[in-house]
Amino acid sequence: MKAALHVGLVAMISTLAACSSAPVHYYSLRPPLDRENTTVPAAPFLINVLPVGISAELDMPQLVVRQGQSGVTVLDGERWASPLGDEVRGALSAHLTTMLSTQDIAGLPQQPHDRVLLIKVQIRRIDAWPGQRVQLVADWELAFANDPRQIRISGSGCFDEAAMAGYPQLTSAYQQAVKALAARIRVDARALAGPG
Amino acid sequence: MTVQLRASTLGMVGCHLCGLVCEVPPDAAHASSCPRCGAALHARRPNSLARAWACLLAAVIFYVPANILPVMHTNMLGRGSDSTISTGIVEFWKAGSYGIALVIFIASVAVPCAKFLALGLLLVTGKRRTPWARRERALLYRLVELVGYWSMLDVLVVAIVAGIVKFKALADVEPCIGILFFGGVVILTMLAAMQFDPRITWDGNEHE
Amino acid sequence: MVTNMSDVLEKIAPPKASAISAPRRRISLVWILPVLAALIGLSMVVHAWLSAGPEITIDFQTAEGLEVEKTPVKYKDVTVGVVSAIALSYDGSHVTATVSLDKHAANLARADTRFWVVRPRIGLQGVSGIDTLLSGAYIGVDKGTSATPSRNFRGLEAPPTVVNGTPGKSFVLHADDLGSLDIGSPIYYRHIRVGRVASYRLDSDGHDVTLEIFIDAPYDHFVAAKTRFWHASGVDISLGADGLKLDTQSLTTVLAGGIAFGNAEEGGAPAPAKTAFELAKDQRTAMAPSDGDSQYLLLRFEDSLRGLAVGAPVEFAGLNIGRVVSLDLDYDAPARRFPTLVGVVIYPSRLGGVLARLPKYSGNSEQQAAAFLANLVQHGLRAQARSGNLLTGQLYVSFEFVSHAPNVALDPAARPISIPTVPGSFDHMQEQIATIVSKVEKMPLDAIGQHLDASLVDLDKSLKQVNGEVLPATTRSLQQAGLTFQTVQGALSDNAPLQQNLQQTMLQVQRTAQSVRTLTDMLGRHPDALLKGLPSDARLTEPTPSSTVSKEYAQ
Repeated sequence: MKAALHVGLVAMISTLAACSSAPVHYYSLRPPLDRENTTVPAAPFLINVLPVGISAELDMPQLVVRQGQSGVTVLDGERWASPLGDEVRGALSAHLTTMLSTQDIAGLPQQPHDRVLLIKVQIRRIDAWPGQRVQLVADWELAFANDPRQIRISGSGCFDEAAMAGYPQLTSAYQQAVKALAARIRVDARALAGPG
Repeated sequence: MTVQLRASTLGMVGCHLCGLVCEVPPDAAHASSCPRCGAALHARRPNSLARAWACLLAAVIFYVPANILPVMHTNMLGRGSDSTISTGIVEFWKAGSYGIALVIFIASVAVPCAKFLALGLLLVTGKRRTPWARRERALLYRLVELVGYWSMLDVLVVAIVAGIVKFKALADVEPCIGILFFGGVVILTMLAAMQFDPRITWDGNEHE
Repeated sequence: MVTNMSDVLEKIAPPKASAISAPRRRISLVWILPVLAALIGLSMVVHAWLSAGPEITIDFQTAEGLEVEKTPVKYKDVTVGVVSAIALSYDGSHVTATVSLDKHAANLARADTRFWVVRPRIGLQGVSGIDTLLSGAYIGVDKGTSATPSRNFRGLEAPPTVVNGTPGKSFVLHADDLGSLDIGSPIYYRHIRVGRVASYRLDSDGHDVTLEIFIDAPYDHFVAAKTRFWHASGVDISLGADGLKLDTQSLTTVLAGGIAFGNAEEGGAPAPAKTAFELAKDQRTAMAPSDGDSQYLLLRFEDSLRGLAVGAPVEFAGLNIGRVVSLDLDYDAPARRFPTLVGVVIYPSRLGGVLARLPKYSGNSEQQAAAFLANLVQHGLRAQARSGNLLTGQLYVSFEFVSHAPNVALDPAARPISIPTVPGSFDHMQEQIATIVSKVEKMPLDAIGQHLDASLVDLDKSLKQVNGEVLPATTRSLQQAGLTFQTVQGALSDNAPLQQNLQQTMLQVQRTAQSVRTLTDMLGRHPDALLKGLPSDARLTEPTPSSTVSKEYAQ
């Protein structure tokens, strides 16, 4: 009788202990803010980073990694702070505003006399091999809003960053890939804006 | 030829607490107590029939608001609606969930009504001390005790649904006062069954 | 057997019955339980019966959107009742909805309380009732002010334009016709929208239209007893003896019609509610000072009056003192001629301050006028039909003092009062031209050429004048239209709160859908997560060596 009571107590406590979730880690693609003064000349236009298109299997808060040739694993314990599309958009906005020394007016009403560069990015794939590398393939298109001449620049890029073992290092490689993408977009934006 | 020996003919009463057989004159004016443990001595549970009748009547009275008042208030996308036990059964049946409708019907309508009838039968025949179908009546009593608490299933369903479906504006379920009355019905019928002394079934003359 | 029993008995120890006794109760306390249950049940019934409010019936054309026991009745967004039954009327012409009101809302059921079904509606006033798309239609209430309660109502099919309790005042307007007005048409004061038309109906004799309008507070105290109302619908174009005029209130009035009002003189106490006003057809007619008494005169013209229309102005010394009201032909048998009888109405008060300095005569106003006119006629006052506009050939009637006019006596007692006429200036001009031509015949050619040249220059000047007036007015109107379109564009631009709210709402909906999707995905992968929680991630397999790093490429 007593033995049964003890066993029952232990079983109940272990069941309760089992009914808890594993701890969850959160990551962000936005790099820490760099406050040092840059000598980049201010661009003569404002930018508007439109919502980034992202494929369905990546569009979730959980980290998605590749395993071997065709395997894909969804890590419930490692998550992005917000859905991946919003993370990429925020990181791109942060990088581009620093690199071009201008302002992102997404979400703000547009003044009629401003020159606004619309930046539309489509993420085609992000493959992450833990401990190896992160591959980012994206297409983008730049155009000025209300441009009577309707000139656009479209570009495509594949960015490859090595990653050390461990999830924080993997997300650092993500950040580097997004930064490389922002650098290429900046080159195209300067080319579109033309001299002056 | 066997003679059924009854404690009442011998003037004996068994103490219900410690089991000691004590001698008690059959028509004592006041109650006596056991010499060993001090518990009050009763040949049968005191006022068993009266108490059982009282609980049964209270249960029947509570059954009326349990069925009339709503048991659950469902709020879906801003539209709220109350549902009683019977409307719930009808809605489940019409939606195609025959199993659930059947389970709720059995647990909330069939079982309590059967318990009312069974307990009523036991109490009436017990009062009249008829020898009619004694073995069957004893079996009936055991059945009532066994099956009684399963009517609480409905209360459990309402509690779980109300606890899980909490999606703020999308869907929200709240229990209403009807389920309290229904719980009261189940508890009171269980009390009535507990108050009924099953030995009363076997009182009366010896004809089988 | 008895011996067996006594053997058994001997082995049993006799009990010691102690003297503890408890008084037996006659009636067990347990009967309190059913009494209590009955009391609880009874109290619930009594409570439900007491808190039940009155039951009213409302007739609607259709029961669309109404559900038994679900559709609430809301007053100021508080649920005050619920639809308890819906039934078709005996003859199937309408639907009767039975509503049970709450006890605390019993005094809502007055004789002039109005009920209507709130559904999503798009109209002149804007979009209303959108939230009923999700939560289902409900019945709106406008509490009436009558003192008599009522139990049967007729429901409105559309929400009332004016809800009781809105601050502001109602007024009544009488108009000749409705024009382009409708329920909800705006009312402007100094080009600000201050109210709307609540309802209209044709008078019983079919001659007038009576409109009921509602002016919001605090603009309702600008409506004084002397306020003038006029149609401000559409675009006012008038082509008259004095040229082309173009006027409009706003783009809304072009689409939906409108009324404007103004005060001729400032000050004046605010008019009480339900005061009646006249609706003039344009601003000029409305703001003109009231004409006062009118005097009917009959004029008889010998010559043809082509170009004189009813409504043409009557002028005296350059002042517009009346208008032509009738044109008829008369037959002069002896001379075999058809003179024209022109009836005019003059308003002596338009003469202004000089009226006080005129000599006064005895008798009523008509005898005074007759005597006064007789005196003037003696001094040469004649009526003449003059050309008002060379372009359109319009004529107007002018009272002039003509020198060398043959004496004509005006009989002051004759009715209607008739003023003698002289031939029109056009005829006069014809005679003059004939004289000139005969004179020109005698003149040398260069003199004729000079005269022609001078005439052409005059014609040129008049054409320039027309151009100078028409075009700027048109340009101004187009500019105003452009400004209006800009305003519309502004309302639809990103700045508009509507756009911003829509964007925010869509963002929230998108994020909600995303969260639900994440939850369902996770449940799909780990259905037991609700009970046991999320398991830790599985160990990843060893990464396979991959190909060399690919270069970046750009198009």
